Amino acid sequence: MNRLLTPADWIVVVTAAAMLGFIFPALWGASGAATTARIMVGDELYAEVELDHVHDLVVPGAIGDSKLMIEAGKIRFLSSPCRHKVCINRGWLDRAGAATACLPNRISVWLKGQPNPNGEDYDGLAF
Amino acid sequence: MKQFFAPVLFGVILIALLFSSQLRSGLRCALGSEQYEQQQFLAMGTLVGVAARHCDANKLQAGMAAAESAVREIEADWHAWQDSRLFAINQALASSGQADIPADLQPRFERARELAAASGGLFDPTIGRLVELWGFHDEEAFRSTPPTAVEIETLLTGLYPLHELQYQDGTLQAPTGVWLDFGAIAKGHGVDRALAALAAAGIEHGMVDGGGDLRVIGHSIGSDGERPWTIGLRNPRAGGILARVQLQSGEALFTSGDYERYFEHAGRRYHHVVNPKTGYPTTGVASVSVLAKDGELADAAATALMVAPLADWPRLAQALGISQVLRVAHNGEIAISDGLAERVTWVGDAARQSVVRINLEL
Repeated sequence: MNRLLTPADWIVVVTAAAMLGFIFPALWGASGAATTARIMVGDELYAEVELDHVHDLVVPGAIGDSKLMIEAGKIRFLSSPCRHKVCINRGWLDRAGAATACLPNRISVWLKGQPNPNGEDYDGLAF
Repeated sequence: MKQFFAPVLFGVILIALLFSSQLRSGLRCALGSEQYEQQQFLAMGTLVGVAARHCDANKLQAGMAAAESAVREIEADWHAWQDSRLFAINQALASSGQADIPADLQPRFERARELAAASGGLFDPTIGRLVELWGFHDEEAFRSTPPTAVEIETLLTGLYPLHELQYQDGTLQAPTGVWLDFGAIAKGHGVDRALAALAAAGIEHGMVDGGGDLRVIGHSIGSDGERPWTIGLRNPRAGGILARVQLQSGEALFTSGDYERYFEHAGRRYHHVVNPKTGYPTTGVASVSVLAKDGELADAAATALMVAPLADWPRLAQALGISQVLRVAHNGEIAISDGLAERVTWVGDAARQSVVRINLEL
């Protein structure tokens, strides 16, 4: 009498199950909130910073140093050599997709991740 | 041994297919989960953001790159104060009083003329010298004190609204005091072009954000599937957002405000939106947001309405062809058109305060 599944069949079944475990998060996983800030100086990537603990970061820009403050899940400009401090007045960036820049110093910061993954907030900010 | 061969081969092929990026991408699409990309770059005097989603990673990357290229192209065409094709036009006007507008720039130039005429000159790209006098042409050149009344009056007497300048067969004639600055419409054009580049690359869902001035195509996506792009309207004084609004595909939302580029002197705020009639920055209004069918229109209209008194809005809105507008006065009072009021959800204090309704029927 033939067995229902041959050893090769079992290999396929087990492999397929393992693959399902692999692809499920890729297909269904949430896009996630911001955990990483991308810091650019001009068009160059200066650093990608994990927003997982409190620390400061000094970034040299076109006209001087800008100081960034990082806490769990958020980041802000603390000081910058520009006259009008638009970047500092922007306050904390704490949601994926949020961004600000010190234009005179050519430094920009934005939080990676898909905004509004749960449909509770907003995708973009008009101002 | 032979009986193992076919199933093992099948298994190897299955694994190879599952690992292939194209199949995974296809599965993501089939299961409603696509790749989402966003990028930011400095251009047009602001931080420009592009966000889009698609199931084909290559197509997505190509679309993002095309959108950035489109913005950079607009900057190279229309920057009033750096080497650009507009700069060359301005130099020609300054030296000879006339300039040929390149054929590919003429449609945008003519649209600006139309909007200048429709706004009665409240949106007017001929005020470059005034903008320069106030120092708002350069991020680091803002003044600490206002120019003198004589300086302003001297420049005003040499200005003529764009739609009143002679323009025929692609040739513009202007007094030598005119320096064209399309800053109140070029960002709208840049956002429009970037969005068109996304669409041309086959991207059906995306958003271009020119430093708080946005336009969208398609839909956003949340945990329950697709839904309209949701935009928060920032409170110009208190921070945070005062309302949310959902944009339909193709719609643009642009804001003019007194809170990003300004200086204060003797207790008064002087900001970058200069009234072409008086030569001074507007007063009394913190921000005007316009929701319209394209970025150019929304951009120019937001500037014109920032300048215009509220009583003139119905006539102006009619002439410009807009009906969805929100204004926040310097004291925080909110006025909103009926057309937009039906679409916004107030947030926080704005939900509790009384709001002035304006009828802007087209």
